Amino acid sequence: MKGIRFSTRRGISLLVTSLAVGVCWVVARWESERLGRADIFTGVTALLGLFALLLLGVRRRIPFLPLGNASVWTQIHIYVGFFTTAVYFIHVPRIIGDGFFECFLSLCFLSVSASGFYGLYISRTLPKKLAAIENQLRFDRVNWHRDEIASTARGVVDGLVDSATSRVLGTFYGKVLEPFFSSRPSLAYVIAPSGNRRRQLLGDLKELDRYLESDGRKAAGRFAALVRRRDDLDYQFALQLRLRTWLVFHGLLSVALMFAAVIHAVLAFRFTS
Amino acid sequence: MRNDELELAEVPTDDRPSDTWSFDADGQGTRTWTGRRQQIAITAPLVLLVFFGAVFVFVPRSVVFKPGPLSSPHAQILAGTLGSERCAACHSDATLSMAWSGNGGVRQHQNDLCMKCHQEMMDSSLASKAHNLPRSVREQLSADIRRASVLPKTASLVSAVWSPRAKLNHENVACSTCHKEHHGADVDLTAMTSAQCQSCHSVRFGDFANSHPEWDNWPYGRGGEIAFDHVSHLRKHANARGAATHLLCVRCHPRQTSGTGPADLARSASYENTCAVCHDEALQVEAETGLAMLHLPTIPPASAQGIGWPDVAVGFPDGVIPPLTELLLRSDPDAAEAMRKLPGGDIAAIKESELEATANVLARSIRKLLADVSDGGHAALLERLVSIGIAPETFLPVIRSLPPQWLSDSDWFEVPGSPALGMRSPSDFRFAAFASDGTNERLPAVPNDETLLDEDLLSGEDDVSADHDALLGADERIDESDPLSEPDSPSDQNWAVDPASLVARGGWYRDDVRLALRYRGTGHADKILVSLIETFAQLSQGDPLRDRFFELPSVASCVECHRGATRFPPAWRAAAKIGDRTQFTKFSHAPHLSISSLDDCSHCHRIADLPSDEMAAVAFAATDHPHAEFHPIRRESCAACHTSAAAGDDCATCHRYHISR
Repeated sequence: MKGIRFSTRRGISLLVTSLAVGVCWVVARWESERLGRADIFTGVTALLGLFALLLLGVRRRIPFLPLGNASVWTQIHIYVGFFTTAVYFIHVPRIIGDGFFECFLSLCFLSVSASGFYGLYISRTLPKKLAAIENQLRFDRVNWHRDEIASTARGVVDGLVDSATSRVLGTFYGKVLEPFFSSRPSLAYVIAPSGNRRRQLLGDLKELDRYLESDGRKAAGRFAALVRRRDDLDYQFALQLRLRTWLVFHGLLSVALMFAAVIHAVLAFRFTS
Repeated sequence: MRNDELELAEVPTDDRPSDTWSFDADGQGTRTWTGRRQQIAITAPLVLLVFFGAVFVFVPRSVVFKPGPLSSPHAQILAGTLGSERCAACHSDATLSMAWSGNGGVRQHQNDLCMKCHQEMMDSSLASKAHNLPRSVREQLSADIRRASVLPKTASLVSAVWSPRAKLNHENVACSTCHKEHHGADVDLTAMTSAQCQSCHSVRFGDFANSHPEWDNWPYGRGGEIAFDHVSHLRKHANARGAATHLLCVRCHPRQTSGTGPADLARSASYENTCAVCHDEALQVEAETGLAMLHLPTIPPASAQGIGWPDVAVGFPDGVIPPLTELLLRSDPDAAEAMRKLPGGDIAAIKESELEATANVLARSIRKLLADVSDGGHAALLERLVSIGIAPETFLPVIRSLPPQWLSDSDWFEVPGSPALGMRSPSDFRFAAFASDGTNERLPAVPNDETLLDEDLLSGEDDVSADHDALLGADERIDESDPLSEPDSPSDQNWAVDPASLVARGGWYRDDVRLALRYRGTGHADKILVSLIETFAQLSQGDPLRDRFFELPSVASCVECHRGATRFPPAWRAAAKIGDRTQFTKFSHAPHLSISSLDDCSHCHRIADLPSDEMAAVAFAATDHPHAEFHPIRRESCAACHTSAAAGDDCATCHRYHISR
């Protein structure tokens, strides 16, 4: 498999998945035409698909067993997800079910599927963005880094000797930089991080150069470096938080979905004449 | 200063990725992402469990679990019921119970629940059978179809390969196999694809136009309740008076409106609006010939000994036992045996060697019949019929109209000393000229009071000759002419009974000259004739008595058209085929009537081009045979419009599944 290019592997996987969906549709149609229970067939298929999807989480938690590459498992998980989503749409008479429980079940499935597709997207795009930033930071140490940057910035302010420089930069620090360094990034930035804030601050600092002597400009330069560092930190934090939150959301909903799907299967079999 | 010129402290390395807590220099701890995830992983499922547990416990199940909206008809019917009862309308208690083993409720097959409301549609005991027919009937039908049908030469390969065989037990088909609920309000529960219909059938085919087996006997050959010769009427009588208006198709097959659906064509209209225009007069004449219920035959003297048979009926064997009399005599084994010796009920046809004994048995049986009726009245008649397997209900109109006293045996048979009418000789009645003395000229002259008082009515004299003056009265009342000479013209005679004037409007009358009890019909739909026809229809096919009865002119005039009346149960009217659930094929003219090109009935129903009247007569006589009078309607006639892109060619368009027989 390693000798085959990724795009080829992807093509083959998509083809196999499409074929599987086609076979499922044909069998469901065939069952329906022979007055069989196509809904039972597609429902059981979807349930088995959910079980297969959960196995990725199991595999991740049992790394010591020789069960194959996690990346291979992830690929299988993705295409089984495609397949199961397609089977869901073959199975259900309407997208959102009627009734409290069926509505919850269908919303759960759709949420898990949508989050799965989103996860596929962000797992392909966010790592590149994260790798483009210098200094790979651990998520749990973000607060420490924030504190470090804030204390360093305070040290720069405290180290200002010239009264004019101190006055200019001190005022700017007190009004703009200190809130920036001491507070967490806003929810808007975490959801949709952008360079606007960074550009704004760096631009403001640049504007101060005409009021500063060379020492003041050096201090402003250090402030700029700290702003860049802090912005990179916040950017990493936002992207990592997004990835991690998605994973928790996807995982939790998957468990809830599995729970509800089993109840649904039991009820369906019970009411089958 | 660039980013890389900034020197910051090194990151502490005193933790591990799997730590749930991290501590800063001051010793303050914060949860790591792993810790938070663990917290969520424990808390969230618990919250969900508690939440759903509360929902399942406190919220009604019918609100929590709703597998999909019901179809509109069911939703409307159940709209007023409580939530818990809505589910129970179609699902058994055992299914609805939360108990895993299902012991919490009553086990009930879902079909039984369906039949609680749909019991009028079909027999509940057959609801789970395929086509609602017993296995034996299905197997017979399959054998018949295999013999009769023309299998498609080129069935669609795709359909032959694709059409799967149903995995069904044909003796236990659940309603929900085909009628799937909870798929939305707008879903048609009765919708079935052709592939679904064919999944149970061993022979499958593709589209209707190219693959459906050809038929050659539909729609003709069904029914047959009323025999109507289309060819004769349209050929011979096309130029008759009023034919232009009376022989239009819509005259006999008018549109009939129903409250629920569009107008369809009636199979036949009323007699008064159709046949009466031309046939009423002739039918009236035929009905008025009537028939006899009782007619004493003339038997040889040797046979009459000891029976007290009327003298006027003793002599050369003559007379036909009416079919109704024979029917009433059948309960008597001796009489039945004797009747078998009378070909066509004619006493004169008995073999010489058996004549005396047979006539004696018959005469005794007839006397016993009349005696039983005298004693038992209607009950005696009904008992005789029931004993030979005739349903008494069919004969009730006859006996209700017939007073038992008319069948009393005291009037015709010998009672000692009684100047009964039956004592008179045939010549007295048949050739007597009655004097006009102010009495009713239609009654025979009776002795005056003085003559009667001179006689001892109870003297017990048996030998009363026709020459007894006391009975005959004045000699001048006797016609001395030769009894063997040609009778005088009717104007010179008065018959004992003239039914045309006595019962001009129809009814029973007694002919004491012929010693007969007869009925004169009233015309079309005469109730007595109807009752008698329905009575004799219960005799088995090939029974000579049945044939003899239906050959009577007054009866034949009825059954010549009403052939269905000779079956049992009788079918006097053409049964409507619309809504007839005994047939697998359904057809309604209604949707076709709105198509202008089909306005002309002959577009589909073309009279057969029979070259001669003889062939037409043969065709009419064989109208039980497919399309004798009409060209058969071929599949391509229907397939011109019934394609998948046009009028539709699904199996369910023309065939029904639920059969009631």
